[in-house]
Amino acid sequence: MQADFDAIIIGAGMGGLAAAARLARLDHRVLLLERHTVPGGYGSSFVRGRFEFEIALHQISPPLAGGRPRPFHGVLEGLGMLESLEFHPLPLFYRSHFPDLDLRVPAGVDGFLDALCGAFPHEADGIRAFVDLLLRVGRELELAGDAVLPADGSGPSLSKAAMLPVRARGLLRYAGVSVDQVLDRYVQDPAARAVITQTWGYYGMPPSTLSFLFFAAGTGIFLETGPAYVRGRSQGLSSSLVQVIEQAGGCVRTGCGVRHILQQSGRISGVITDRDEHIRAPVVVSNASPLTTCRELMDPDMVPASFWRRMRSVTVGPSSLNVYLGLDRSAAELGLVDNDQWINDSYDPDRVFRGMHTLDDPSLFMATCHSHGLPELAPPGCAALTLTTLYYAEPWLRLEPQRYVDTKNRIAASMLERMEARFPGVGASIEEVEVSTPITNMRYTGQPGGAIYGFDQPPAEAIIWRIPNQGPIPGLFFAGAWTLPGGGFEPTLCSGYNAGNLASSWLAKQRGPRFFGLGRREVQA
Amino acid sequence: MSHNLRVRARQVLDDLGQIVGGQVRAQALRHTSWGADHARTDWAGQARSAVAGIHPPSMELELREVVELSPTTRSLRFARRDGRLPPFRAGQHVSLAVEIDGIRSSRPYSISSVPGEPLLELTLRDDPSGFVAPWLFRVQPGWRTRSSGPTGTFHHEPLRDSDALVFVAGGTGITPFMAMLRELEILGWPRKATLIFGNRSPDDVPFAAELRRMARGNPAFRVVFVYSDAPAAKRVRKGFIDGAVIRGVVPALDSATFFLCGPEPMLALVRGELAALGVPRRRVRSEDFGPPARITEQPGWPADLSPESLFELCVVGGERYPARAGEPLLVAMERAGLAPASTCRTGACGDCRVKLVSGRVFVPEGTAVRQSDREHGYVHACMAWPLEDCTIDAVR
Repeated sequence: MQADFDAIIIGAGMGGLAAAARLARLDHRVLLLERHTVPGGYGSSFVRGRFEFEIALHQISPPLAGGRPRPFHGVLEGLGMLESLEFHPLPLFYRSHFPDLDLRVPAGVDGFLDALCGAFPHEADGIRAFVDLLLRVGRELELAGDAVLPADGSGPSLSKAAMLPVRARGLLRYAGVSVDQVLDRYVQDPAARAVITQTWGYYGMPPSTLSFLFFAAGTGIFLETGPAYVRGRSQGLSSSLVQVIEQAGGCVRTGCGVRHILQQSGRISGVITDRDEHIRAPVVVSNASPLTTCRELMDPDMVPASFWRRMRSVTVGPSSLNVYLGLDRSAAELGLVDNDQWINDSYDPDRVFRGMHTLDDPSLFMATCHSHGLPELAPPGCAALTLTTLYYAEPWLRLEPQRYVDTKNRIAASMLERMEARFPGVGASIEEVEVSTPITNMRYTGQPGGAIYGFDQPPAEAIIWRIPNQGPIPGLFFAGAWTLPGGGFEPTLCSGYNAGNLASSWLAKQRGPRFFGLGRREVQA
Repeated sequence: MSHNLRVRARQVLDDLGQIVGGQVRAQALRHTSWGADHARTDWAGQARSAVAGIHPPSMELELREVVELSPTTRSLRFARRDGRLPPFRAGQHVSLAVEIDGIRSSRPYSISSVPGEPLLELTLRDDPSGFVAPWLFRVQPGWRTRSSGPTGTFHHEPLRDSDALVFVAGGTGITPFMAMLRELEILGWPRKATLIFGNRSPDDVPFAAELRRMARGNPAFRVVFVYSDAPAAKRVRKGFIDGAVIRGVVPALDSATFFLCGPEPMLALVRGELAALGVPRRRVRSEDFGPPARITEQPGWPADLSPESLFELCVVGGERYPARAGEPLLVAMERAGLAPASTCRTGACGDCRVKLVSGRVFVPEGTAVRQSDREHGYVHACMAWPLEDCTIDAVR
């Protein structure tokens, strides 16, 4: 079979873009197909009137932690993105609003500890011990990642892996527990617990069911490096990746989706596009969810039964509702200068989580004024503000179309009312407003349930237990939030990067006899 | 063994128990029928049908009725052939597909009917100088075509707008307001509306009778007609819609939300007048008819460039096509059969986003293009005029 490409990548979300960029830079002929007209998936932005609204990216952790390169540094380097990205550190990790508490939590371990121990002196010892543990487990996860999926793409290292049971003891101990199960041993005050675990909203599950490892991977690393934002925001990130792919000789086609993945003698042999073109390639990297890939793009009976068995224990994660506001007053005037403000109405995350399965007004949402860090998103004296909350798609799928606008507007109005109570003047400054829902997410990305983090991340399905990047059929790979390591910008970039590395090794093995020793070349950037 | 060590040991055992327990549970789900049966859950189908009920990507339409409104305006009423009409927001538009002399194009038309009605009504004016309008004036009932789903942001938004509405319409710019007013009437006028309706002459006013009927004895709705060139004898309001007219008829200047729709010069005039009256931008919404008709009058257009200048539009790895300076790239692409998807033709929807590999284009001030797109060389073809030979990266 003469292949048209070495690899076809389905979907230009962060995972697909990273996989394509990695493969192209390893000198493979790649074709990236994206159904939407704009690459990026959720990593995008849109313009309304005089404002530009970021869709997804709140915080990202910079590639260096105190001068020490993190594995993410290696990923960005391998993607050829290190030079083109500008990271700007954010002063605050987050600010938590509760009915009777308002706490600014600074970036960096010391600031974090000062703020929390200051607010909850009776829990100071427990908080310190818990943060120590988060940092330790966060570092151990980096060690494990480096041993199993090193950023240079060289494949698992036996010698490093052999040391893991000693050097990364925490991983083994905590691989099956939720955040609460760990926190129970250190902190009891519900208010303190709610503030420490506030970022659960970034991961989609409350501390009682969220994997401790995933929480440690995210929060532990953010604590150490401090959060940052990227210049150009997520659409800039997406466009930079497209540029990397094209400069390395890869081909990116938008406005053209894939209808079917072809198999031949139990291996991947190519795809059929929306326009009925048959394109041949021995590798397909799917940035669509494994569910869509194996049910919609293939005959589910042609996928091994073991894959469907594996799928039985996963559940589709939450989607989001965003209220995008263009305000004709500045962030300073409105008191919106703090990045990432969480507006809570209770200390009980489980109650919040139950609400995420309904169409009730949300208990918890986040307010982010993106234009405060990036003034080009709004005209002078104005502000672009996004309110974000999480919902599961289920009730939205059952909602009658006629009730859609009223429902989303009722929810948005409840969030605006709570903003007005804390930041008077917001309601009277609205020049632009858009409300996106799980339906909007499905419309633009086609993700099952409009999910933004892929599958739910309970202990038994997160990090080391997550669906791997290898698919169930030789030549099929998965990239994106649904697979290892999980949801979020960095994880999906890593996931695509790893999928690219794995696909490249697989291609090299297939060619073994013919191109002995010449299967792969590093492209010198 | 000390107490501490014993506690530690118990915790380690607990944690290991959790791993085993969690994985036993996961394995049980995987190997029995207790778990979710994703092989038979049609997530994609569910998502598609939920989205299609609200935002159908396209609609198959058949023309059912043609209604003559005035000497140069008429309404076309369409039935949807592939399902029920979706709910939409009064004021939104559809992009109607046409194929004229083998050239595929599309035009956005505001919907003048109310959400929930069985037929979709579009209203247009015969413009002999246009490409699409004269053709649409010849179509007969039974004509079949396609359109986008209803889209657009020109509608009343309770999260943002006040309950005192002022509509300023010029000619067929009345169309979105007809939908809004008809909806207000059905709802029993929950909001007050004032319509200032500019036309050339009293003899050619679409919907005049219906508007007068709505306003008769109605404290919640007032309509004011303004004519730019009425015969001297008639006792009507003459001139343009300026600050004096607005001040004269709008009771709540300091709280009303203004909606403007009409030809460009009218929009420019009214926007300026409202700004002079101190109405902040957030209370002024406006809908453009299409790309600026007289592009050479836009600020920033190179003074020495004639709109008739002819350039070449090259497609990477493909052919070359003629492109006139006075026409958006999208028009040249449509003529070349490159027909990119396009919905709004005013730069807002971004469907015609294309990478400009080389060449300079003119993009009017305020066009909705992302910051990163500007930096990476993407343009919206409907709002980009060639200033020299251009190369784009487009796929046929």
